[in-house]
Amino acid sequence: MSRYLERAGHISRLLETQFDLIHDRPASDVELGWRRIYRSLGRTPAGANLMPVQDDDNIMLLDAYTLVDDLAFEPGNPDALIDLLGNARENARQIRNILNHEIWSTLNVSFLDMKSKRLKDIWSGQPQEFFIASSVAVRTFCGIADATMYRDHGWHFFKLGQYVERIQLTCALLDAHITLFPTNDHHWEIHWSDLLGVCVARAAFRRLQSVECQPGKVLDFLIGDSRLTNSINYGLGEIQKRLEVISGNSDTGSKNTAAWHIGRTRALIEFDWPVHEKGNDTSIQNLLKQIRTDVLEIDSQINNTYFNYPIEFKSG
Amino acid sequence: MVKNHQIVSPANPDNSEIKESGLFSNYEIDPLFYDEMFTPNGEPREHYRILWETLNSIPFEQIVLLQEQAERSFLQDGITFSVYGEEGAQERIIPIDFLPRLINRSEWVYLERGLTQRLQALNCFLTDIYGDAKILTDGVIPPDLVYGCPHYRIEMVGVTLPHDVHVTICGSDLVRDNKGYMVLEDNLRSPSGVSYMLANRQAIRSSLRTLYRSYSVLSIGNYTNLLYQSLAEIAPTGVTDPCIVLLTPGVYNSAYYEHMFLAREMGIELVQGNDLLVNNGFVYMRTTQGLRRVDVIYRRLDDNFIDPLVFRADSQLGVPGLFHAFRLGNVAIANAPGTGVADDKAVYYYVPDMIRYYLAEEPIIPNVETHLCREPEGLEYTLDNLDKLVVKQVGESGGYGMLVGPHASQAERDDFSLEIQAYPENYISQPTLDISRAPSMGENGTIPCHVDLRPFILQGRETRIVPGAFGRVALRPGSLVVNTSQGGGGKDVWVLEN
Repeated sequence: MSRYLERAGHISRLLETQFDLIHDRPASDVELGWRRIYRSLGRTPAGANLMPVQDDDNIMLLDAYTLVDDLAFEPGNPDALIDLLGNARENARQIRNILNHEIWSTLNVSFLDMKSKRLKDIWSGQPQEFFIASSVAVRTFCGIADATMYRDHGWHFFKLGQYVERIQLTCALLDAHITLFPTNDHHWEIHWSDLLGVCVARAAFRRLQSVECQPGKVLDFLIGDSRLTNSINYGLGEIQKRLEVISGNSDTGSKNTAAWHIGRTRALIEFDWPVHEKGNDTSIQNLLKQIRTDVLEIDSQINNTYFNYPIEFKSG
Repeated sequence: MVKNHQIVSPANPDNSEIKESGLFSNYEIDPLFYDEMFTPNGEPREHYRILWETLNSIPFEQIVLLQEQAERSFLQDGITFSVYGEEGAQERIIPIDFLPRLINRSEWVYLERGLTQRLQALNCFLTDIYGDAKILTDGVIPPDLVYGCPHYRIEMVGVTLPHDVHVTICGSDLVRDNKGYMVLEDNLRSPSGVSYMLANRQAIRSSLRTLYRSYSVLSIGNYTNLLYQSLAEIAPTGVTDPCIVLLTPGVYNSAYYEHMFLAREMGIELVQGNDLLVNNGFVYMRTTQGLRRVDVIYRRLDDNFIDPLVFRADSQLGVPGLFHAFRLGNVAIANAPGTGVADDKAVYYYVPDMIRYYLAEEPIIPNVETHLCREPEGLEYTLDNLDKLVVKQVGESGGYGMLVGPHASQAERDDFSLEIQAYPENYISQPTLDISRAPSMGENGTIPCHVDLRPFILQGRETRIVPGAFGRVALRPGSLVVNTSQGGGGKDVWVLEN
């Protein structure tokens, strides 16, 4: 459930930011924004034309309608917001006996509200507001869960799922962003600022770093900062904490495998980051890929250890 | 058959001094049917008077808003069921009728006594037929009726249960006509609806807060505590703090909301078959902290699906080896397998005889007059009076497989007649009942709709009944079928203290 919600919140923020681009930027920036979204999600929109359109904003706006529909309401798209919220709701239904009424009804009402809408209805008004609202709905849900859920294993698994998904999405987004906006090219500063926006890190970055969005510093912040809730380092730290609580003092067998993996992955950031050679984007992307692979392995270990574990009975 | 009777409107009762909102102005009272709210001359019954006065003082538009508020609360809470049609699965709320049905304390005491008596006799019957079967050898019930029933489980023979409780949870359907209450059927396998009883109460209580306070309505809020207590009492001998789980077929089952609701309210785990396993005659549940022994299973699966090694081999929903653990007495199952034989529509005919046989008492609440088509005279009577009778298929439930003679066409009756003659043992018939009616919300005011009651009776060491019931209402005008799958809805039932 938490993974679907994390993804839904992420896509809402991507679209919210993309509407900023549509409103304020030239068509080329809008087109690059779409590329970043689709590349980070590993998806090619069916039937959509992603070729650059330099001069005709109207055509781009028509494309935007198709693409937003694809990401919000397309029935065949597993990353469409409606699908993600629907799956989160189905998951919530399966464990509803351990969720309180507020948690369930927040999610249920958000889903029913979204299901009752079609893009053509919201497009004529303020479509950006719709995605802001869906992003807020996900955060409200997580806030209520945070404030009310009993801190047992269920809660820690909820948080584990949330951070596993967040790290996956952030790594994929950074990877896509670096491909489109190489770090050694400072013409793209505004896009790095957009990236901070998607990761809800712009205000903190300005306060702690600079109003200038230098790519290296932005990456440092989004990957290595230990207090930014959307950074990769913070997410890995949270996973490590949850695993410690769930496994208790046990340090034997497969429970230790996930802990070992998380320790190794954190070491990649503690010791290998930042990658110092200027403009060596390939090594940054390799690091991001390694983190993604490790987090997937951790997820699989958690699954094997706590859910699909083998049953052994001692004879006699 | 149409009888001569006078239709009265409560809009003009002889001495009414209450200014009306129009809610009841088009409501018609037909003396053929007992009206729960009004006397035959259009006066509100004494215990309904406050409700009548209060609702009459609220503008109709506001009442419509209150009804919508109750429905919205169902939608927000996810109290829905799926309807599968051409456009895929559509979620719909269980229709809720905003007007409660009121029952006097004295009437309820009578019903409690009757229901307790009935469940005790039914449990005695099940203990007997899976034991010495004296009731059969004494000729009270024809043996072939029991042994030929598809719900009879020979695997249960010789199994002894704590306190001889086969049925822990019973939902008996009650109807009323001008002569009084009758038991229409007993649901002894996995009776459902109790969550709607509780949800209806919550929704209506918040919509009609002031009215609810005006009455002293007996609380039904401790139902899940009583259920937990009853389940704990049937735990295997020696287990003092049992681990109880609710076994559900899964999220796509139409009663899943209820399964989730009951598990949550009792604070027990909601499990599916693949969460459980059996080793060395004991049942275990997978948890994130390893295996945990299970002592009591409140199953919401049909017998056929609980254990593929004993019943249906293709069941993906059950637990291999569960029945073996049950027979060993290492786990309790509620309701026990094989209880369906006692709620079979033909066996129902003999419940009054069971009460006399086991308890040496006269039945407190009568059965509906029933004719067994397996008996020559019953068959003849049924075929001769098909246009006046309701014919039910013995193995069916939920309002399916039945013919409502007066509402059926001649062709439908002819087809059914051939079926009955070919398989008489599969059918029973009952007269078309003049089931009581109560005001329900229509588009422009209240309309009279037929209603029934499903109280839930719990049996552990003792019998427990909460003062309330899942009230059902046939919302289609003129319809007698109250099942939610057939256009029925829910109606809150208030049992009054005074």
